[in-house]
Amino acid sequence: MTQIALTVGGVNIYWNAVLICLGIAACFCLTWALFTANGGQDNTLLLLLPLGMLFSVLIARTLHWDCHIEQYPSLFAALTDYSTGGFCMPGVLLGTSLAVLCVRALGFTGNAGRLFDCLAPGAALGIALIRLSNLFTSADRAKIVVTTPFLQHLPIAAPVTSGSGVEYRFATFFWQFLLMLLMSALLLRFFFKRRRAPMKADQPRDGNVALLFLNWYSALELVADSTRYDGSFLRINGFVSLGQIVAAFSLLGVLIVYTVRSRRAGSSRSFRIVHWVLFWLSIGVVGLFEYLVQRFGGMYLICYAVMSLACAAAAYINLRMYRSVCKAPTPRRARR
Amino acid sequence: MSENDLDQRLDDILKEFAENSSREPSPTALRPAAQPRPASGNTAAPETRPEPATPPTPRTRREEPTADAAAQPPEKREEPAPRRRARAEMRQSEREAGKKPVVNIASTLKAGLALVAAVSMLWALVNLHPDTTKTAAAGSGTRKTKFDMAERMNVFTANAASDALADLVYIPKVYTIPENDLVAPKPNPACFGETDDPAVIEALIERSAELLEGQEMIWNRDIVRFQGSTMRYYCDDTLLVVTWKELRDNSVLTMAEVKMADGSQLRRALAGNSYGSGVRMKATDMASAVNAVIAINGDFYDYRQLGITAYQRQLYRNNPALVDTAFFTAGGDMLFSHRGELMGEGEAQAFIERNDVVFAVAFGPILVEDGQAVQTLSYPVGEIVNQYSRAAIAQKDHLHYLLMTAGQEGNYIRRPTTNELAGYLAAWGVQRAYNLDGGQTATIAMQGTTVNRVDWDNERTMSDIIYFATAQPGEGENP
Repeated sequence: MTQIALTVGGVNIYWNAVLICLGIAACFCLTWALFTANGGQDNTLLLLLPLGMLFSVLIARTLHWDCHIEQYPSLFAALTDYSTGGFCMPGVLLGTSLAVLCVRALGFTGNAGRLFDCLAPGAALGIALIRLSNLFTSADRAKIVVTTPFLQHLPIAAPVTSGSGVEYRFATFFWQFLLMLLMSALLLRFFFKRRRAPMKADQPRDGNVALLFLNWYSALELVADSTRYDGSFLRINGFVSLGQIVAAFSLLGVLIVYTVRSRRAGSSRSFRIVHWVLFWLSIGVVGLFEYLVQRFGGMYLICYAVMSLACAAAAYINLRMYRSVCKAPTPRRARR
Repeated sequence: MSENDLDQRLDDILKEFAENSSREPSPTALRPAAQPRPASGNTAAPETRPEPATPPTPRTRREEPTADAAAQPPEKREEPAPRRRARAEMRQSEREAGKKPVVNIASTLKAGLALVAAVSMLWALVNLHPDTTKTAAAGSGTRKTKFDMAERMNVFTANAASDALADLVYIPKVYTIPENDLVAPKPNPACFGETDDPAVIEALIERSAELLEGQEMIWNRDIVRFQGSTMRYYCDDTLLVVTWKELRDNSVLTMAEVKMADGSQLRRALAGNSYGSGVRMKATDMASAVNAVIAINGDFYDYRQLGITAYQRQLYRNNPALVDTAFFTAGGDMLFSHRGELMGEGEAQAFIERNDVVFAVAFGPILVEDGQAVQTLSYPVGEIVNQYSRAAIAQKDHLHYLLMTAGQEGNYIRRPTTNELAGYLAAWGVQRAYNLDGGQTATIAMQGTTVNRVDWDNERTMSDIIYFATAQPGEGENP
C-alpha cells in the first residue's frame, strides 16, 4: 500500500499520520462527550489536548531514542527532526497522565480521577486507530512468518516488503486494533454501569475506569509486545521489551492500589494473600513461557496461548480485588 | 448609545423610582400621630397641650426624598445624582468601554485553547508518521559506490571477449555483484551437496583450481571429523564453500571455508534492510532472503552501542574506545582498528574512505593479526574467559575466508575461550581473525538450515549477518 495520502506543496501527508490524527480526534471527542456530560468544562479538555500531545511526543520519542539509538544522530535530533524514527507507546500513556496532572494543578479541573475515567474509553479507541496505522508501514508485525497462501491476508497476516520481495507476517497490529476496539466498548459500558457503584468504607469511585483500562491494556501488551519482530528493548536488557516491562509493572501497580483499598474496606487477609499468590503465579507463568518462546521459537503457538491465559488470569485477579472494594449490588426484588 | 437613548433610559429609571416612592410612606408620615384626648365632663383632667407636630427634619442632600432613596433600603443604596450628573456618568462609562462590548475572558480563553488544539492536530498530521522513512539502503542517491560505469564497461567487455573468443582462447569471465543490491544472485541448487567422502571434496577442490589461484585450503582429507558429521559444500565458477565439524580439545568446532572470485561476494545483510530498523530475524531467514550461499551471524549491532559500525560505506556509529572493529573492503579484505584508535573527529570516516570500506562490524576482540595469535586478558563484551559458544570470521588469504563456531554438541560441552580460539586459528595459518557475537547468536547458516548446533537447538533472532554469495548469474538473470 502506498504510504503517502497526499502531497501539499511539497509536504507529504502520510496515511499513518492521518490515522494517528483520527485516533487522537476520536479519543478527544469521546472524552469530551463523557466529561462535559458529567459536569466538566470545555476548557479543561482544550488545554489537555495540546499538553497531552506535547508530553506524549517528547517522552515517547525519548524512550524510542534510548531503545533505538542507531536511528538518530542525537537526542536533540530525535526530539526536533520527525522525518525518521518512531515512538514508544508507554511514553504516550505517561505523557497523557502528566498532562492530566498539569491540568489539575492549574485548576482547570478539581477531580483528576474523574478526568482519567472519562479519558479511559477514548484512550482505548485512540490506541486502536493508532495501531491500525501500521497497516501502511512494516512495523508491528510478528516474528511468525505465515507461508500458507490462504492465511496470508488480514486479519491473520500482513505483507512486509523488503529487498528480497514480499513476506507475510502475523498481523499483530490488527489484532491489537480489534482488541482495543472491544476494550473501548467494555470500558464505556463500565463507565455508565459501574462508575457510580457504591464503594465500601467511602473508597473513591473516581479513577476505577482508568485503573481497569490500565489493567486490561497491560495484560494485552504483555503478550502482544512479545510477538513483535521490532520491539523496543532497553540497553540493559535485550530479552524482555520495554512494553512488557511497563505492562508488568502496571499490572502490579493496579493490584497494589486495589489491595490497599480492599484492606481499608475490611477484606480478609487470607483473601488478599491468596490473590497475591495467584497473581505472582500468573506472572511467573508468563515469564517462563516468554523464556521458552525465545529459546524454542517453534513452540510459539503453545507458548503464546499459555501466556495469553496467564495474562488474562492476572487481569482477572485485579478485577476481583476491585470487586472486593465495591458494595454488593442491591437485589432487583428489593429495588422494586 | 446615542444621546436620545441615554435620555430615554434615564427618564425610565426616574419614572420607575417615582412610582416606587409613591407607594411607600414618606419618612415624616412614619412617626405615629398624637393620640386625641379622650372626651369627659367630670374629670378635670389637666389640660394638656397637644404635642406640637414634629418639625420635619432638615433636608440634606443625601436625604432628599427622591424615588431612589424611597425605594431602596437606606443602608444599601446611595441617592442618585441629579439627572444631569447621571447622564454624565453614563457617558463616562461608555467612553471608558470604548463603545465596545465588555471582554469575556472565559470565551477568549476558550477560543485561544481551541486554536492551540487545532494547531497541535495540524502539526501531528504533518509530523507524526513513524516508521515511514526507513528506506532500504539500495538505490539511495547519497550512497557512494565504487562500482561506476567504467568498471561495468570493463566487466562487460571482458565477458563479451570471453564469449567471442571461446573457441580460440580461454578468457575467464568476470562476475561481480552491484554493491547496493540487497539481494545477491540466486545460487544454483545443483551446486550444493553433502557428503562424508573426502574424495568428493578433493574433486571439488581440484575443479576449483583456477578459483583458488594456487592457495592452500585449510580443509584436508586428514582432518578428524566430529563423529557422525557430514561435509556440506557449494561449488560454482565464482564460489567454493566447504563445511565440516571437528573435535579440538573436547570442543566441537564447526568450520566453513570459503573461496570467492570477487570481493563483492562478501556482504552484510541487515534485518529490515535498513540500519537501525529495530527488526530482528533468524540468521537462516535473513540468509535465505538475500540468496546467501553461506552466512554467519554478525555483531548484533542494535543490542549494544560500542565500537564503529558502518553499512554501505556510511558510518553509523563511532564509539571506538572500548572494542576492536573489523572493516571489510570492496576488494574483499578484512582490516582492523584497535580499541582506542580512530578516536578523533572524522578519523573513522576518513579511514572508511581511504580504505574503500563497505561495511564494519563491532564486537571483537581481534584474535589473529598478521598471522599471530592475539591474547586478550579482558574485554567488555563476549565473556571471553568463560564457557561460552563462539563465532569468528578469519581471512586466510586474498578472497579466502574461514567461518567458525564453537558450541556444545552431543556429549561435548566444553567451549574454548577466545584466547584458545585465537591459537587454533593461528595454527591453521589465517592472517587475520575477528571474534563475533557468541552464545545463542553463534550461527552458521546454509540452504535455510544451521550448519552448527545452536545453543538450546533453537536460533535466536538477530539484527544482521555476514554472508558470501555467488556472483554467477542464474538462468534468465543478467550477468
